[in-house]
Amino acid sequence: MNDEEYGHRLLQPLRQEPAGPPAIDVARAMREGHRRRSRRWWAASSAVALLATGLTGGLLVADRDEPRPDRILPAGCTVAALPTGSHKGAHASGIDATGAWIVGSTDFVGEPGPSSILVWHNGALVTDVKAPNRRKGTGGMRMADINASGVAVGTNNDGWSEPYVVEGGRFRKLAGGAGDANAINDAGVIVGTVGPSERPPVRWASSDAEPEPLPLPDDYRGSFSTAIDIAADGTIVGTINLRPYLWWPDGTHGYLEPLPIPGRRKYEFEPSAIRNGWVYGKVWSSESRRESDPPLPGDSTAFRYELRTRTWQVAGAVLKSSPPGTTETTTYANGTVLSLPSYQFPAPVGPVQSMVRSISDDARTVTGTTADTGREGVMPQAMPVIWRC
Amino acid sequence: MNDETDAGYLEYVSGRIPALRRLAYLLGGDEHQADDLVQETITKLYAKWPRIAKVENVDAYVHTMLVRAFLDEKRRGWWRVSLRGAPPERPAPAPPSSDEKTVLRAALKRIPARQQAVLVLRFLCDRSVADVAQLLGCSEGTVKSQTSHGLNALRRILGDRVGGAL
Repeated sequence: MNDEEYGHRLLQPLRQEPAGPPAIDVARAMREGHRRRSRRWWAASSAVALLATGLTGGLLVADRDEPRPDRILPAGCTVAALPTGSHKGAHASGIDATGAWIVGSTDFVGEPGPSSILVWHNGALVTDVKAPNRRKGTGGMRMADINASGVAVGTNNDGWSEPYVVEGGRFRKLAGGAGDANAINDAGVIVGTVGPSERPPVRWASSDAEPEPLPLPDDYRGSFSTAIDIAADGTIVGTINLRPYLWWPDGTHGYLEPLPIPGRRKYEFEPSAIRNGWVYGKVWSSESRRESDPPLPGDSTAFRYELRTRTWQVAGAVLKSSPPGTTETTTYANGTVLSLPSYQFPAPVGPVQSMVRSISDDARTVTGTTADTGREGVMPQAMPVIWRC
Repeated sequence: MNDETDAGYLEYVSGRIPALRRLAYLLGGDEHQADDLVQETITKLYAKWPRIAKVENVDAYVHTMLVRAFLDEKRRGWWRVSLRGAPPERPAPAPPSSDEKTVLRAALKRIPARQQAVLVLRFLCDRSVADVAQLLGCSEGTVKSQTSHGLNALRRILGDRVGGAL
């Protein structure tokens, strides 16, 4: 009997159909998939935000009368691991505008039980608390953001997501029930979504306030609308019907101006963050480029939108993360290159990969995670890192 | 992105869930895991839908995503974006059984994940060597050698027995 016959005959008894009813939730897949579109891009936007501070205008796609000079790009950066206390690993996910506070968690580092939330202040671990364990066997939590008072927000991960605030080492669930907490500014205003299934964007005026629904346009169609980030002055960026949307501090609100990209190809903009008077986001298209369409700097190109002049600018080609096996995280923008050195594991077992997650307003402090991605049979390890530039 | 692309996603997914679930079930032999794999796959699919809706063979792309999700599950990478932070609460495992299927499945789980995937795809899903190579992103030669290694490993675990002789 050759291998072919043997294999078929041997495995034949396992040729079965699943018997029970499927437990697959397409609506949840769409909601989570939409969040991932934004989340995946956040790392990229942070890197681009760093570079954008050093650009002197880039490729202007709309005229501006008085271009505001960007800050000077740091010349070089050093890397160090953040302390993880008793944990074998962790990842860092948010930094405040000053660069003093960083938040992260031990989610997905292979520890049993609920993940721990870690907060660092000036590079020292100051908070290490277990996330609330709402359901046995679950309890992961993703931390989204932290402000200059060390107050962090995040969302638990167990399929019925609820928004939390972490302050002084204590957890508190935000009012309003199921939802997501996506960002907090230095005034303590939090933005996210609230709702059992359809989740419209909301703002919490403080961590103990009731959520206030953000005003919606007439064409609001329900799902795929969220508040993504909030600036120091209270300006909120998000999406409505998957299109970028702004809520201004004076109560007005509306879609961003269309991207002024020539050609017939239709582009989408996914906003990610508000920094230094700009909305950062990624532009991409699901349509193939025609020969008559002008090329963009990259397949996925970062654009930024200046709030003051309501104009667009190319910020650069998007960096996602270093490919496995490379030793440096390198960012590119219009020919400007900035290398972030990679953290070196003492005894790596697999390819090492770094991901930039967040950056301070002055571009001097960057945080993210460097991972040893492991190999068959060996668990990967992740180390939260800080780059000082 | 608009209602039209969402409608396209819904139409695609609703028609494919039974086949995806079957593939996931054959790979892992566990209904709960199969549902998790399909849920993860269609979540990733939605995240990428505007870009992949127009690829030539979406089915092949999605099956590749599912098989890779199965292999990732084995590695439990920290970067894996999961719908849950940890495995959900499950009913207690069934007591050991001498049932043929149980023994076979247990043996299959003892061999390396890629070999498991190759054997299931080749002999339970009746995929060609070329198909499996495409799904796993490797050469046809690798599929053949993984098939041979996997079957040898099963022979070592089970003894040289086939169909009904367990």
